[in-house]
Amino acid sequence: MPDVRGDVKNPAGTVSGHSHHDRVLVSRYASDDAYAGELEQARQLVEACSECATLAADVRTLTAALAASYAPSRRRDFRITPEQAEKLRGSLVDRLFRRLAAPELAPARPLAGVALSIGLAMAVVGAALPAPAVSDMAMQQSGGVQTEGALMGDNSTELDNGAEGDPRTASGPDKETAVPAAGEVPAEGAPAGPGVQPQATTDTAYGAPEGRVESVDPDDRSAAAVEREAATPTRNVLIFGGLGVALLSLGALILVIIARGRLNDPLLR
Amino acid sequence: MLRSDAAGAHEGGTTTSDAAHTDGRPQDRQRSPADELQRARDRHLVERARDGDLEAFNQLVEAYQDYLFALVIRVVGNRDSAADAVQEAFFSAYRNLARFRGDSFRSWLTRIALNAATDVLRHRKRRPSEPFPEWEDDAWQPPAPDTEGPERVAMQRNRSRLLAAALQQITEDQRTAIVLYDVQGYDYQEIADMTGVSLGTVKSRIHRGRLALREVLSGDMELLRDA
Repeated sequence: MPDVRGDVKNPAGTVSGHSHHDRVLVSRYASDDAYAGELEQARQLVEACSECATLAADVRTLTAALAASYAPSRRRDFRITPEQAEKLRGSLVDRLFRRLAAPELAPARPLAGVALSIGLAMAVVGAALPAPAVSDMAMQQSGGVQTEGALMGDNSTELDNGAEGDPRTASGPDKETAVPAAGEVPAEGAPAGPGVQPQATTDTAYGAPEGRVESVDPDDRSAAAVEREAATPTRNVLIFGGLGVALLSLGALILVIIARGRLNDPLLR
Repeated sequence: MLRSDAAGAHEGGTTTSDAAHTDGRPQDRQRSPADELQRARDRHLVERARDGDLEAFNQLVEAYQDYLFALVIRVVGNRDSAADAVQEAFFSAYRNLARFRGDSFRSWLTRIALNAATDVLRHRKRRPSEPFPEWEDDAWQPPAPDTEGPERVAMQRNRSRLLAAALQQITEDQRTAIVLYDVQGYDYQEIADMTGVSLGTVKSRIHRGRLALREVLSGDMELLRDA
């Protein structure tokens, strides 16, 4: 294959020695394609160097011959048959993906990305809000049960403690100081009294520690707990709404990416 | 300068001197009424084809199949390969009609066909075959005008064969640029858009390609003089 890349401009700008002449410049000159600043140098080359003059003439001959050249005729008709068209249209899934990959939906990908970010941010902010402590909720629930149980005189929550009707169950011993009676299961963290036997118990109403159960009074709830309860709906909306938005946008993003990948046509590169 | 719809981004951008310089060819013109008419017809047919009208797409095929085949066979130099590439180009265009957003369907189609031709050449590099025996065929386009005598027609065909064979001996990039510029009459900017390279690269490929062609044809230049 001919190599024309080795050509270098004659640094002195002289016209001696055709092998040192800028043949690309001569070609550009012959095609009326030389820059204004090069015209004089090109003209000098063509006028003073017979080989450059021949080159310029050959370039003109070549361009004229190329423009007038014929090509072999096609033998095939490239029209598309209905069967081919059906095949090219593809399956229902292909058509759906093609719609997803259409230029009108080009903004879908960045939009889905933004929605994903917003959704995740909402979920993170929601999770960062103060949450109602599990123990608070348990206090509420078990406090209600205990109160109700006390009012009804129902001691069913104290089946095994052997202190049926003990007023302490209604008023509640102090978790820190109460010493269990014989046969009574000690409250969590309370010192074990003499003769205390470890024993299975159902005292942990709704799973709450016994000691705390007995100290619950709804009126004693702190203002902070009330605030936390008030923040709960907002928190839930942020967490679950954010996660929902993030999941939806992630799904859309994945669909668009799959569609573009699946319908990627190498001839459209 | 005609504007191309080809979506290819320029690799190197356009230098100031490139932008300021015009090549002075007749192709560097404002759009002619015929161009506008053709583009309007194509847009209308594309819209119909997008709505599922196969006949409309086939009208586009009829309008461009000769042009595309002549372009691609000069690039690949083999009738069967060229036919396959053109068929693939039309298939791809049909599949992706919804993605056509440009102004010129012809430029878009040309770009697809050139990509198909490149794939053919790449495939051939892996499996070399006998080059262009089909050029001995008698069927040529455009058909010789009736006013030309048989001797002149035969001479013109010989020149065309000679040029076609020489084109196959220069690099693919240079060949594509020369065919688009010298044969098909596109301007530099359109070629840059279609091939995805800078204006300067296009010019360089064309001029260096011509020098390479001249070297290949050094013994036969006399045959071309009367073109």
